[in-house]
Formats: sequence, structure tokens, C-alpha cells
Amino acid sequence: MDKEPAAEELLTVDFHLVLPYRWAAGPYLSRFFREIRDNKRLLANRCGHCRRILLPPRVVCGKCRAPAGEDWVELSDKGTLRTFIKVVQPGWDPVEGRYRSETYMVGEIELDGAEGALLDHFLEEQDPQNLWEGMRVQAVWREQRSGDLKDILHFKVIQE
Amino acid sequence: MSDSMPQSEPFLVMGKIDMPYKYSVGRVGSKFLTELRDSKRILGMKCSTCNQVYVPPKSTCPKCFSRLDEWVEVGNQGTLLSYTIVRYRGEIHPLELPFAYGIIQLDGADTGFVHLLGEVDLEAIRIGMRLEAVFREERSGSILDIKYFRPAG
Repeated sequence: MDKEPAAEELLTVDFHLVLPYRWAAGPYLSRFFREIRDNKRLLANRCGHCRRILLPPRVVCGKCRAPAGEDWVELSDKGTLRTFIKVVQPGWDPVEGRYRSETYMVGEIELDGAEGALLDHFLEEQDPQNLWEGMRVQAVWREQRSGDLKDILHFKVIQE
Repeated sequence: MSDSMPQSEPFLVMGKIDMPYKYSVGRVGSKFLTELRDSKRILGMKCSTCNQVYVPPKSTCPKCFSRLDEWVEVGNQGTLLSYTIVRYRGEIHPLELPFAYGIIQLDGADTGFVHLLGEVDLEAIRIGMRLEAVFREERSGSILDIKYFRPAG
């Protein structure tokens, strides 16, 4: 029998590329983030043309393609759960640099005063059997806030 | 609320993209690196049609697109074709600042090979100077198994 050739060694190289960056939030989002950080307040603005609520606030209305104006609206941190989803496929978290290891619940929440504008956020309740559309929920704020939607830990179900 | 915007500094949002990944070196690249690791030899790939020796080796000739499999050993010494001195901080850089990258044409190669320059006064670096590879004691099959190139002789 012929001598077998030595198994070919194939290499891989591990890289860990970290790209920190920063961006200026602009006039409207700057105000939005500052109000979250300093006053635990969620601000939106109302488009002067189509009258809809823009959340987060925007300089230009995406529907009208026109300056939305400065009709500022303060939203409640309470709202109504419009839909929800249980995420079971752990996604890549680029900020943490690792896979999200746990399953988690995401809800679309219509904050009081938002008139149909929805905010996506995490839900405290992890069992979808205990959730239904129309439930009342409220933001749970972090003590340490940096001006980020993650300053809200999650939304919890409330009884009213 | 309808008060107008206060004049203030823009809010800066700090972001990060964190990407660990694996790069498969392939057959040709793997042989190149394992030879560095196991025998401190630098291998090139020759295209007989174009009479060119590529270092680092290529599996396909970029001139005539032939598939290549003619391995040749090139020298651990070479000539500096070009260089740059790095003075800004970047996470990917493997050395303390300031330091120099060189493009080195190894003896027997027809192409330039990018690597670090070491044991050299940065102000004394000159195009055309002779350099030699310095290998690490502990080698892992990485391009950094060559620690750097230093002035020869």
C-alpha cells in the first residue's frame, strides 16, 4: 500500500475588530435623548402637514418629505401593548460583541398621546401566555441614564 | 409644549461595532504560514509562464490567471522597496508608536512583502537598504511569526 500523504493542515486566523464611533444626534434627537436622560420624559413632534405624531421626533416627516416643525408633544411613559413577539433566535449584539444568549420579549407599544405611533421595546413578562394585545404597560426607567432608549429597562404590565 | 428649540451642543451618541470573525487562510496561505512556524522558511509561488515569484504566495497568477503550484523558497533577506512611519494610534497596530511598516522584496521574489521594521532608527531607514527577517521563538502559524525585519549584516 502506498504511503498516505500527511494530512494537509489548514489554518484559520481569528480577528476581533472593534470599531467605536460616535454620531451627533442633531437638534430633534438631541432634545429627545436629553429629556430621556434628565427628566425621564418621552418627546415626540407632530408633523405640521399631516398632523401625525413622529416618534422619535424627526426634523423631516417621512411621509410628507417636508420639515415637520416644532409642535412638541410630551408622551406618557404608560401605554397600550399593540403587539408582541418572543425572540428565540439569539441575534448578534454589536454593542456587546457577543450573541444575545437568552430569549427575550419585544412589544410594540402605543404610548398615551402617541395617536398610533408605536415604540418598540423590551417587555418584562417573558411568557407570551400572560400577554395580550390591549394590555396596559409602563416604562421601567433605569436609575443611571445616559440618554438612550435603553435608559428604559423594559415595559411592565400594570393594572389600572 | 410648543417652546422653540434651545440652542445647545448636539447630543453625541456613542456607538460600537464589535466583530469577531474567523478568516480561512486556504491551502496556499496555510502552507506559507506552517512553513514559517515549523521551519522558519519563507515560501513563494512561481508562475513559470510569467516568470514571476509571488511572496506571499498566490494560488492563481494575477497576470495570466494560471493555477499555480510551483513552490519556491526565497531568502530571509531582502531589499526595502518602500516604507511608512506610523505615528497615530490605532487598535490594529501591533507595536508601540512610532514604528515603521516596510515593503520588502525578498531575495528571489519579484513582489513586495509588507511587514514591520524593527531594531532600526526610524530616521535611518532608507529605500534600498538590506533587511533580514527576525523570527519569534514561539511561533503559532501567523504572519507575526516573523517578528519584524531588521537591517542585515
